[in-house]
Amino acid sequence: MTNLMTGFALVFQPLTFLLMVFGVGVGVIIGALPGLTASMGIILLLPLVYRLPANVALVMLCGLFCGGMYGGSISAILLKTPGTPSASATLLDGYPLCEQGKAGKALGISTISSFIGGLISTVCLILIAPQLAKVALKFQAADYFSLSIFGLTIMASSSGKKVVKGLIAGCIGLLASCVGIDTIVGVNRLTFNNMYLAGGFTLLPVLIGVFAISEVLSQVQTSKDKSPVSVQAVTNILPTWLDIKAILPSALVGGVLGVFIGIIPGTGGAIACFLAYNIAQKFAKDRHLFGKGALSGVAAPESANNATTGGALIPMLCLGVPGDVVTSVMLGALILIGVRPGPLLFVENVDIVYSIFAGMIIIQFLMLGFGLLSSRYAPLILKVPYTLLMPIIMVLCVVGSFSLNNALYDVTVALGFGVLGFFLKRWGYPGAPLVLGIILGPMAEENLNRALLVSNNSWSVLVQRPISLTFLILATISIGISVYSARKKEA
Amino acid sequence: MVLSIGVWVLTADLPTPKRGIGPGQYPRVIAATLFILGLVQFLSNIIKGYPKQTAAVQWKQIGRAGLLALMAFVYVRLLKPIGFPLLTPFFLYATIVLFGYKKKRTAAIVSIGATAVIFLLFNVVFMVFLPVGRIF
Repeated sequence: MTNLMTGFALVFQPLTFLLMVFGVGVGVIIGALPGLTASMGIILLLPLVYRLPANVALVMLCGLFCGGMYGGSISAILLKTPGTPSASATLLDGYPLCEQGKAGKALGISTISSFIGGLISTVCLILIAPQLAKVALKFQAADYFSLSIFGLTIMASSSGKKVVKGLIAGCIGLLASCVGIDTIVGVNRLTFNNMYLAGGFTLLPVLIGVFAISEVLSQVQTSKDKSPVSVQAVTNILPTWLDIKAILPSALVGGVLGVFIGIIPGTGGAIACFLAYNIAQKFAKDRHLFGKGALSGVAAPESANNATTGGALIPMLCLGVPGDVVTSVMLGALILIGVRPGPLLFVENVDIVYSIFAGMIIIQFLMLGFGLLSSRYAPLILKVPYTLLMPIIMVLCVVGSFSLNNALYDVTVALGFGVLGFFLKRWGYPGAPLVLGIILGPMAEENLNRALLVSNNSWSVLVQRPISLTFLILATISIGISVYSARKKEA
Repeated sequence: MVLSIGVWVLTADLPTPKRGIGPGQYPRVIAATLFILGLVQFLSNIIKGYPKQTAAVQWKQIGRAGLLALMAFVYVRLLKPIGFPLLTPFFLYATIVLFGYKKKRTAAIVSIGATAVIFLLFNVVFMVFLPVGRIF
């Protein structure tokens, strides 16, 4: 409790608070614009992030994460186009409400449900994360290696029916992490005697390349100058007490479901929102209206997708394994600012952990306030033409990667990974496992080496330790399930 | 598969310690896994067939992305001699046109305005001194 109070004290410092508001605001705008994702928002803020104290930077990123998740519902309701995949289920009832002239009410319900889901997930984060970290403190080298493999396979298997492609991308990431001077013996590895490559690939340019530049390159393929979208005016945002009472069960169930889906690495908001929608459709009082403009049909998915935020932070903070794409980018950002997520974070950097906990609580209230106050202006955000936005993002990517070391070499690396990310995306290979491979590669190599040293080069150490064996079994199961469900879909 | 063979060859002569995993052994384990996965994907593509796509459309789309990537590489190469404030408005304008935006005057204003804002933001707030070129 004292730690949490210390966290609150930091969160309420003027700079931290302002940056948290900024994070939520940017997140909502980015989430609302189709084509821009929360991960891209985090990447664009990275030049700012690593100039800030770690805990301040982190609460700002959490604000962006939560704001981005909520923002996706705005375009889903007003344009029938989800701003993020996590808002895909929201449009099923959100847009019919908009057609009936109730866009304001739909946005209001979406904001309140997001708040409920976010609050549930934060409570679960505060209760579960420290306990999981205590268990994770017992991990040894072999367990950490198997955990890295588990993290990679789970991220690859979340690529749906492209599980083999996900694993290939992960392996390419692991190989990219090998470039540079080897940390164990100290020899040059895969550097082609290039002095720049001796330092390996720095994470920031890789993140910018794979997640932001590749996206700009993909968008230019099909871009056309579209006429400005016409969006209905938003009025009557505040729902009545009766409306809130009606949607509360759906929002609560969606919230709990979202947390548990968020905890499972590799899942995320897109799965949670559809599951919550399906469950709400079965028991909600207004189930006869589902698909035609049911308020519970907006509340359940919105609460669920926002609840995944706290859930996804649990494995990232406790184990160093991200729960979804956004948290994999956040993991990269954490490493950039010198914070290594994992169980030791809860021992060595308690202040950072509890700042996140306190920040997450305040962020939910900020999101509620921001959502209710700004929904009226949402149509203005949606009028920004992405044909102007994307080129500016490209320049921000160049400047962002330059800012790391004031070196144009980093920009070239970012462009190189951007082109690689573009082709991987085009051929159906997901980018997240590639980046995760680069992040987890050194941890996997170091711990595998340590495990083999201790066991006299006996690889059986990986299956002799129960924790390691459990991770390897879980990794196999996750791939098995993905392959099975992909086959089932094809059949 | 080509990448995995390349890695295998390039790491072949790296030292192998008596205990633990050597600097060459670890990438070779990954390369072997990558080779197997590549083979599985290759066979799966042969069995299921590659997705059909009109060649002309595909090349036109890749061409635009390729042109943007090329423009970005040239822009980065010229940043040091010409400088961020002079070069970026032209790069931005060209990119906006490539994206298909029709209003030329707005595009020019946005290009100059965005360059000024980004330059001031990074130089003054973040203290990241962007290249100003040899003219200044």
